[in-house]
Amino acid sequence: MSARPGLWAGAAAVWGKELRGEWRARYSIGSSLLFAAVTLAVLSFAAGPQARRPETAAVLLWTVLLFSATASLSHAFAREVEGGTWDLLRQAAGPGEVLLGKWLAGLSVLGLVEGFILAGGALLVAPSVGHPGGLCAILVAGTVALAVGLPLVAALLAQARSHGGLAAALAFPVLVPAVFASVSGTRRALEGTWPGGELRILVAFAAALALAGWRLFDFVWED
Amino acid sequence: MKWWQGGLFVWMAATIVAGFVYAPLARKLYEYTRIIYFHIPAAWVSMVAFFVAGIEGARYLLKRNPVNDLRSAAAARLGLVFCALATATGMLFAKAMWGEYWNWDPRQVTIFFLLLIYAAYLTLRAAVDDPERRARVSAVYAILAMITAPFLMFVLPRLSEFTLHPEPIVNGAGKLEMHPRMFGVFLSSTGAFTVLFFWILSLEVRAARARLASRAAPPREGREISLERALGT
Repeated sequence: MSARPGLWAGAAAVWGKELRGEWRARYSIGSSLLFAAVTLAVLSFAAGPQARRPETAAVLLWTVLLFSATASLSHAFAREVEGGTWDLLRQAAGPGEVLLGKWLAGLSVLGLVEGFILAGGALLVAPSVGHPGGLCAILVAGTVALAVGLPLVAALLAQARSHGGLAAALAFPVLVPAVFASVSGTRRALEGTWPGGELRILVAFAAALALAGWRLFDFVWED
Repeated sequence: MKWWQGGLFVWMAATIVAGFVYAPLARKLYEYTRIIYFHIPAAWVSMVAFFVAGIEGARYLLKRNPVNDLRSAAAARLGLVFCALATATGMLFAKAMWGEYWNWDPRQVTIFFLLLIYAAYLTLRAAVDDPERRARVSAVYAILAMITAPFLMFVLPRLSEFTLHPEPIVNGAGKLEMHPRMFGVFLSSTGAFTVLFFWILSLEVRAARARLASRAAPPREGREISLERALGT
């Protein structure tokens, strides 16, 4: 029996497996991009010229991002259970490697979806950005917070009877601090102010979730 | 009835009376000042319940004692009730003071999200069949919720520039701005609500333990009934 690889090597293997699976089946990226395109078009059309206002643009961006992220990441572990690969994954890698790999995969998928949403938003809404550096910092911090939190909820969901309907109900209340701070920070950055307070909240929240997730995932992972 | 249960009854009754006849009215809040002695303690207890649910969840994960899971679940159920009370009393205050039950005030919204977290926790419990797995998964969610709760209650409301809500008991500058008599009644009410919560929690846990024991125990001789009789066929 071969020894298990180290934490980072194992996480990279899980990350690679996730990306390869995504590339072959396109189960989450396809639906997420389509979902993002539809919601972005519908919401920006409904808001009309008002969508350019910083407060509306910030809400629009994070609404589309939150729902797209939930659509793509909430099934990260349920797919393993449904596909019968949960036990195989358990034999091949430890909980830390799996969680880290899933986080990296989530971040990759979310980064791609976010790029698509930002390009679509720039095309359809085209708000003026007063502080581009602040906007970038908030986008990175908010995305990391979502990418850390959603796979944890997804791991819990995989243990439940029905996965689909529960995803938003379980994930949204827990992720509210990240979404509130991201919306507020995006608004400030669009208005031209450095969103320092929001960034501190996002970093603290993401760090707290990551630490808790790291300690707790062993308990979700056990059979 | 034990002596302290009677004492709690007297304590709560005295606090209610003191809220109306002993504590002065706050400036700009008029007669609506009284709600401070019921609304804030209810919100406080809903936070305490969150921490009890999270800590008992953590204890379950460490010791695997089902009683810790029962305590965690009972605390979450009670937290939901107190959170609903805090939301409802807050809405009554909002209607009286600002003319609308719901004003999208950051504190109104964040306590509503606290309510949603409790509801999500109980929904998750209902969605897992295996008792051991249910306890484990719920404990993890309770701990995640315990991390979210302070951000919701203490951090996010201070981020917003718009608020109609009166200053917290300890304001942004860290100063206590409340008349000593009001503060005394407020502390008394908060203490009474907290003791009431732990009492109801102990009753809930005892009832849940009894249910658990009756399910685990084999049926006693002479009390077994046939399936046909049970179904009435």
